Amino acid sequence: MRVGTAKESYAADEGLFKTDTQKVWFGLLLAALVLYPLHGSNYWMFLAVLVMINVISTTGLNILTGYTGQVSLGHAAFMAVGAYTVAFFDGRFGTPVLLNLVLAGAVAAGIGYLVGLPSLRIKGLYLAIATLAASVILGFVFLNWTPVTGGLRGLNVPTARIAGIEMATPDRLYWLVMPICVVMVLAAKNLFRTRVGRAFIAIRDRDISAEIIGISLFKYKLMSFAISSFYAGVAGGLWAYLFRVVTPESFPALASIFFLAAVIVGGAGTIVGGIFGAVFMTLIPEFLKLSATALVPWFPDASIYLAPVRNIIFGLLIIGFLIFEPMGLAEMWRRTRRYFALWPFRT
Amino acid sequence: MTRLSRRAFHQLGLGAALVSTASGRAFAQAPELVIGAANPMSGVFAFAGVEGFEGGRDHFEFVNKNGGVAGRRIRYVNEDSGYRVDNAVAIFTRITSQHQTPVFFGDSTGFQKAINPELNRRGTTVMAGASFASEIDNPQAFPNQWIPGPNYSDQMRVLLRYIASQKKGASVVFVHSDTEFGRDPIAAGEAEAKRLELNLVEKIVTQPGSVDVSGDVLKIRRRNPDYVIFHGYVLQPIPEFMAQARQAGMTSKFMGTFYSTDTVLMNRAGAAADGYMGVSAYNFDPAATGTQIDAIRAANAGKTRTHAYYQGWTNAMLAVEVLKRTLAANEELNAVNMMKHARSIKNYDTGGVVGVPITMTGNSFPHGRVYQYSAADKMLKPASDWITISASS
Repeated sequence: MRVGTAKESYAADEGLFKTDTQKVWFGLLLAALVLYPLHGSNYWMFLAVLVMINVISTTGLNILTGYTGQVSLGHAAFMAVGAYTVAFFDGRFGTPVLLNLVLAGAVAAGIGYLVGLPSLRIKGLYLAIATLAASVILGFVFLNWTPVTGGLRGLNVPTARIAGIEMATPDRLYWLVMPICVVMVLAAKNLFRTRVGRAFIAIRDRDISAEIIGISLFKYKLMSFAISSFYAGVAGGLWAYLFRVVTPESFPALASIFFLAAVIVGGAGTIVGGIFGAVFMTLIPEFLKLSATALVPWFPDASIYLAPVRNIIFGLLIIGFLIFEPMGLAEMWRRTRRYFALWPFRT
Repeated sequence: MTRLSRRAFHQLGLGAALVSTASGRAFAQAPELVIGAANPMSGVFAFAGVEGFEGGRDHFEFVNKNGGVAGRRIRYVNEDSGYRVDNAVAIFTRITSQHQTPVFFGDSTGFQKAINPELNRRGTTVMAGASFASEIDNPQAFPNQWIPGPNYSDQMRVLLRYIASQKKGASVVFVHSDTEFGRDPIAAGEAEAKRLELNLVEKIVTQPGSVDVSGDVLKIRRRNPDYVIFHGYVLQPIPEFMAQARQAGMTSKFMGTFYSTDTVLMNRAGAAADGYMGVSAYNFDPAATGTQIDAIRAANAGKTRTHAYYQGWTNAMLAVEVLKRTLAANEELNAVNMMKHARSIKNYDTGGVVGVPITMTGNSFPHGRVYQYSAADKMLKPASDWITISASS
């Protein structure tokens, strides 16, 4: 059983890492992230980059949905805004990568702020439909604002370059995406140690009570939309550097469902839940596909017959999580940690 | 000193012969040629993805049975993309990082556009696929890809030229989906209709899978055109359009481009589809002859194959031809060399898969034919001769 975690100050109690064990594990995680590229497979680097982009986006949606209680079905559209912003600025003006990503986040945040306006009057399903409508409007803009978005044909994105180094391959792009992902996840974690983050949680738990205790719903709901959209914008910008083409069909409404599912499966209202959800939703279909591919030497047509089965298994896994672990993967992780923290005692 | 007996000498000789034969065989066995593919085996495009995969698979089996390419067997590595760009990119990355992959088959315009910069950067792999997008038919922007038939704009031109040959000044309505795929040939179709002095009376845009088309049918009914051309749909809503139009007593002829002309779709629509016309790059003429078309028939006894199967077969056939020509020239299998030989395909006999010798123009093979569906026979029958769209038109 772990001992010696008594806190002697409020600051210590509110610390990002509450025990030395957490600090050690976080250090090991960072070391693993730094050493990961050593294994050298381009495919696994690609998946790592994709996972981290999805982690950033899911964390953004988690801030809005999991922590502030605002449902959004327009998250993928904000990613698209970020992707188009990067494609436009890099393609047209050749501006630096990091500036493009900040602009992607800022433009998406600005639009997110506007889309969040209805949240002051409506909530729940009504807000979900309003955000969906906003994503349809944005889709129309992407399709028809041809001078900026390239219309139907979309925009090609130049290769990301930092200090003259071309980041054309996932193994190089990793060094751009990974630090940004770590910083943004830590920033989200820190956000909920601040007055702003606590206001978000108060609004989620009971908005009327929050208003009574002096929290400005107008200010904080819109701030939550803007921050969430900023995350989506940056993720979309990184996505653009990974795939290097953005079209009006790059971010369909289904992608918003993907991120919402990632929040729910991972565990709404926990940062680690957003990470688990994004990893699960990105990698499980890939692992299921790998298992189908492994059968090809014995069953050459395995991919034909197993493709629909794979989708069914993925769907069943999500349903299973919702039924048996509605608090998501984060709750399973919490139980695992508690088991080791209390060992040899059982709860 | 140990003496070598005659028996021992013979045993040693036999052993040496066996070893040398075995090692010789291993040495002579040339490495396999790996061709990768991301086909949509699940999702909305699965009906075409599965057929496309099977077309390629059957062709490679046919080639392997007949000695392979320059004595090298072809290994076809396929994975399900689910018609998603990120999945397809992951598949491309994985297969090309595990194998040397001179040719890769893509599943969609989105993927083929997304992977294009990477393809150009690598310079090791050329690509063909399921897309007929007009944008890809551009050797400057897409130097390492080809399209196994006419692009969507040229398909539209084939249909309009057929209409012009049937009725001067015929009235036409375009119905297309509100997608990148659906909008692709519309501008070119408008220009071609104008050039042919056809009367384009209406353009209708719908959601790709929309089912309630009664309002749009009314619009067409008001115009009462001679021809209605569909583009950008996968099955729905074409059967519904035709059924409602027939119930309303309309006599317009319905037509469609490649993916909107499919025996699966026609059979589902039943009698309402009788007389539906569509363009294809491939030969559905029962009287067609040739080594390749015979091989398709042999591989599919008792089966009716769709366009997508022929497309998979044709892509595979073109890939094999490109590999053959590159290896015959004793050149390295890189993108520059392979595309040089792909672009040298002129008046190429496809063994009956296409009814005329084909020539690569731009990145495509702009030869097409109009077919008409017979509900009684449940098959597409040739309605026109082969029509070639020249680069200048």
